[in-house]
Formats: sequence, C-alpha cells, structure tokens
Amino acid sequence: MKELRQTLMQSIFEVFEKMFYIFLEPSDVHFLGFDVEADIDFKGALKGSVSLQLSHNMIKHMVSHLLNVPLDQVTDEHIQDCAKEATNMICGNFITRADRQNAYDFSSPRFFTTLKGPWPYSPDGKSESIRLNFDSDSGRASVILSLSN
Amino acid sequence: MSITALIVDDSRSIREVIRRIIRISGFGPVRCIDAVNGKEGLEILSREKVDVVLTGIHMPEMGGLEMLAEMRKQATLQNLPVVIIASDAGLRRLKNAADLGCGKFIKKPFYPEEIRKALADAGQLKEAGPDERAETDIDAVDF
Repeated sequence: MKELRQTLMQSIFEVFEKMFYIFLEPSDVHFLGFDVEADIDFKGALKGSVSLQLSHNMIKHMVSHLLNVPLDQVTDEHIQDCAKEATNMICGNFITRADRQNAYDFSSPRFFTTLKGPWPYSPDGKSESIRLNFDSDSGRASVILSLSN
Repeated sequence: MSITALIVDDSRSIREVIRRIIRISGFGPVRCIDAVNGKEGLEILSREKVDVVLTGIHMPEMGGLEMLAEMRKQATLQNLPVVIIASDAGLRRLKNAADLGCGKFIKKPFYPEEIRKALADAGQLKEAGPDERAETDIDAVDF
C-alpha cells in the first residue's frame, strides 16, 4: 500500500500541475467540509475506485485555470465536468503507473454535491483505502483510493 | 485553405481546451467540430470532410478505439490521421491504438505543446508563421 500511495501522489501532482496549474501541498489534516466530489471505478488486475473531494474554492480555480474563464463566470456545468475529468485523469494516470501491462475497464465518472460519508468508508465492507489530503493557495482537496479484494 | 479538425470527447472541458490550444498554436485557419462520443464522431465523418481527428478512448455509447476500428473499415477514412488523447495509456491500449493505425497517443494530463506537436506531425496543419515557442517536455508516444 505504501508504494501505491506514492504512485497515487505522483499522479495527483501531475494532473493538478499540468492541467490546472495548481501546486498542492500534502497535509496530514483530514479536512471536513468539502463541497463537491467525483468518483470513478476501475476494473482489471486491480479493482476499486478513485474519489476526488474538493472545496468550492478549489474547483472554481481548477475550472478557471483549465478553461481560462474568470472565477465569477464559472458555472455549475463547468464545475461538474471539470471535477469528473480531473478524477478520470487521476485514475487513468494512476493505473497506468501502477500496472502498465494489463488492460482496465473504467466506469463513467460520477459527480456528487453530497459527500458519500466520513472516511474511511467501505461500501462493501471489503475494501482497503488510502486517503491523501492536500492544501493549496486555491483551496483544499482529498483523494481516496479504495481497493476491493 | 481551411483545415477541419474533429474533436471527440465526452468532456466539454477537454474539447474546449483542445480547441483553444489549436486556436493559439499558430496554425492557419482551422475549423473545429465537436462530437461527444465515437458514434457521433462517425456520423460527422460520414457527412463532413475532416482532415484530422483527435479523440478520447472511454466514452458512453461508443469509445474512441471502436470509432477508429469502424473508420479503418471505410476506404475514405482508412488513412485519416488520428490522435488519441487519453489518461488510460496502458501497454495493451497503446498496442490496440497502434494496430488501428493511430499515429499519435497523447497521455492526459498533457501540456499544450504536445497537442500542437501532434497536429503538426499529423501533417495536415501547417504553421502559419515562424514558430518561436520553446520546446517543452513531450509526453506523447510516437508509433
């Protein structure tokens, strides 16, 4: 799990820095009060899901940087699409780094404005999970990797 | 003469980003057409003259590789340059894409320069003037 944690961290940094021009700082604090969440399932030699939780300020900055739109012109549609796409990129990048040899199926990303619940959560009671927390000038983010047995 | 690029992705954000990169990349006039999945992409290809296709892989109804497989069955689309832009870049996926004649596979996340270079390499889009941009790290796979 330690190796997967490091791999996931690299994927998150790469996505946020390349696509959103946001430089994250890892944090030991498990923040509460995230405003939006997106997740995606993957299935292959590894099986599980990746969830991305974001503060409102963070997702607005992500949209603004990605699409070059002013913060006050960011729409709910922008927010939903951007959160889903960021989750898709983190998951795909992570899987490519963690297991480049095998083919994987991915679900369509889902978007939520009501978070799934306090971490750690295990929908089937059989999952292991890693949670990574980040802070930045643009807001806060958490990424949760859940692996099914 | 205007060039037409077909951008196929279910994310509106990604389609907008790619369109903006094309617009600011210093190519001549480029007409961009959007499609939200491979099925819509094929419909557009059946009625429009397209010079280059940029597509994702995982999309509802029909993905990018399925669209590419259908394209290669049609004589008029067999040699159309295709650039795949996807976060899922496992070796099997890359081989599938190469087997279908995909000329370039760009891994998400990407730098704008990677899209510009892929389009220039596709041979359809000619730069309008002297290119003074510095080269950045290229994270794309050539076949």
